[in-house]
Amino acid sequence: MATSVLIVDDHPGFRGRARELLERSGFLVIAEAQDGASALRETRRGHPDLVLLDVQLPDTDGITLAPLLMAANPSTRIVLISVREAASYGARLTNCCAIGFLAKDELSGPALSELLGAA
Amino acid sequence: MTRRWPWGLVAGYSLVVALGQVLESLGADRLSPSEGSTAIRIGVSAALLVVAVSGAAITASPRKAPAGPLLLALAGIWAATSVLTGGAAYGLQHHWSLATEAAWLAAPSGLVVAFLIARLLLGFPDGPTTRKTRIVARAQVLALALGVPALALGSGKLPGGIDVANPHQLHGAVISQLPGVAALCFAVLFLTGLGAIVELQRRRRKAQGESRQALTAVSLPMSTLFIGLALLIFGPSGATDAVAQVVMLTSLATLGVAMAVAILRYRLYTLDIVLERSVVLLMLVAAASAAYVLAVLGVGAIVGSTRPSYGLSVVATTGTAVALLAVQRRAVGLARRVVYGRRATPYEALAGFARQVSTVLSLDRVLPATAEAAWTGTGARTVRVEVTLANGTTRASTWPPDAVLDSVDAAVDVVHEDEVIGRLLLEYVRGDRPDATRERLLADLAHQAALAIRNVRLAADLEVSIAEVQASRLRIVEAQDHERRRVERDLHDGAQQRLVQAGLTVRMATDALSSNPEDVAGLLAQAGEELRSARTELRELARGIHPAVLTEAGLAAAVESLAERASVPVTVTVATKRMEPALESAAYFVVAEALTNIAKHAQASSAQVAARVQNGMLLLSVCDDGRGGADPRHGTGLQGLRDRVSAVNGVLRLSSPPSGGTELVAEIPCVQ
Repeated sequence: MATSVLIVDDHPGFRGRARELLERSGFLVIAEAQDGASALRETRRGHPDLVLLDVQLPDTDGITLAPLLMAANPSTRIVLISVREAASYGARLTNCCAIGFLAKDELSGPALSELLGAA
Repeated sequence: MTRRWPWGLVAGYSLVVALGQVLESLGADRLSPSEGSTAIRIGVSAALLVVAVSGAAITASPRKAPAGPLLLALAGIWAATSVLTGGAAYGLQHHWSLATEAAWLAAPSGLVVAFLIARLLLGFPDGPTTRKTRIVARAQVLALALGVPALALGSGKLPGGIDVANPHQLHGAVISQLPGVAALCFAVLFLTGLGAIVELQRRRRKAQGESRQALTAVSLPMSTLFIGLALLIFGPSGATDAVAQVVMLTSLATLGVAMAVAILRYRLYTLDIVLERSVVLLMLVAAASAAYVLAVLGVGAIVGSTRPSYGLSVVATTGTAVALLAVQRRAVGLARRVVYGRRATPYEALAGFARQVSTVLSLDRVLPATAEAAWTGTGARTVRVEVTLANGTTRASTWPPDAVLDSVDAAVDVVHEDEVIGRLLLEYVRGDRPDATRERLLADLAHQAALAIRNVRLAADLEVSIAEVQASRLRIVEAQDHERRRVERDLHDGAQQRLVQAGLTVRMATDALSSNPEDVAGLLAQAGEELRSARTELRELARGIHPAVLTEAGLAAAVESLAERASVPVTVTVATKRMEPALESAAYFVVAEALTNIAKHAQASSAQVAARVQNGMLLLSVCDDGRGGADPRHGTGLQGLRDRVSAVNGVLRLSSPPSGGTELVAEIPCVQ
């Protein structure tokens, strides 16, 4: 069964491109969210296996939001994404409950599968 | 409203007393020993004048206390008695028939004085206001009404200082009781006075604060006055008379002053006036007496006659009058120094001020120094100096430092090169009036202060502009940080996102090469589109940081390009050559910000941008036909522009009436 994915990002252009890329790689994108509040709502409703979570959101940030999403759906796994590179966030990323971090331009099906396999 | 007539009355009394003194000294051998003593007579005159001045000060003040007129009446009766007794003594020497009539008129004065004193004490300071005190007051009036005829018509020797039989005495059984009636009346007045003192002590114990102090000030001389009165009435005649008189005179004078102090307490400084005028009057009387004695004795000795002659008296009186004129002016100056003590002459005040301000360079010191010099030199109660700074704020200083200016009696402008840079405001002591000398001093002081104040005002203005520069420097740095954050955010949200998308699209195309080769061309075209929009956003961003057209082609071209992208049609009239980059940049951003604001807020249908250089100034204006009513205090954009323009020594003005239309004008000095 395909891995279900929730994409959380405030740029619709990126969401569209990511959805197309993931679907071509065999993932099932069940929902998109543009901010923290709708991300939480979609997590409770769709129970995604994976949440692609942008670090910078209009109403909160991904690192703060991640534990809340985990609490809403303990079986979900979170991959943080950002335009910036991992070094911009330092230790906050490694201490977070996410299984990994991807710079947005490194996003690809194999990279995600690798993170999921390792987890 | 202050009254002047009480002071006129005091002057009149002085003349009457002086006349009485002359007459008494001429007829001294007809007076009783205690009345005839020179020391006592001078004491009487001094006490009388102090009482009169105290009464006048109270009467002239806006507080209507009955003590004022009573003290004035007391002094009046006293003065009249003095001149009547003196006249009688002198007249008896010359066997004038009217002499005994004068002595007769003076006879009841003791009782009238006793009445006035008893009445003065009753219910001080408001007079008989309660039912009890009103009954006592009626008893006092009755004692006066019965006592005066009893004294006037009684048989035997007349009371008072002249040894003469009563010319109007009546005879008969009833009449023989008159001395007893008179004594009874004295007793009534004495006892009611004593009762008033006891009552006053009782009130004093209950009173608090200022009124307690006031009553305390009055009660001591009241008590000693009554000891003197008791001695005079009940003591053995002869030896104690002089002592009793001294005690009474001192007490009466002290009482008068104490009452004036007590009544005018809420503005104690009026005491200065009482003291000043008392000192002047006493000195005038002393000078007059001295001049007279010298003239009569000196000239008499030269002429070889020991007997006073009319001719000599006339010469002496004229000489005294002339001498008085000269003495008066000095007496006033001397009295001021005696009373004010710490205050210097106008010259000293000016000289001290000039010394002081020649070194200081701060408003905090020049203003108090100016106020103090004016205060010292004019004897004003309060002086306030106000200076208006270039930025419109006012700095002021008051002297004495804790005083408050209640009213303005005199105001002098401080003028430097036809510009009013400050004002001197004075409040005089009540009843005091500015005279020519003090007005001249004020004018001189304002003149001297002008230079010092102008200097420190420059320094203060400099302080203000330094503070403004520091504030704007901070704002510029903050604006710069703000701008950097904006650029970072724009990059992150704009071009970077497009580049990420292009990257993902290219990755999809790569993946599709093996699985779906027919998708590759579409994906690559999409990636190309995304790269193009990334480039556009980068170009926009770069122009926001600094427009290349401004650097390359100057203000006119840059403004044209702004106008092309504006939300409303913009007419551009820019006729300038190339200027310094900082100046061009300031002008460009004024136009850019103004056009952005027009797009956001003005609801305008068109706008005009005009720029020209005139007399070394770049005059730049942006106006629109929108709704107007823009508030210059709002918006950091405008403040940022103001800072930018002032950094190149320019000024920015916004005119945006609620009736419509907004005009932003920048004037920047430039060299083309």
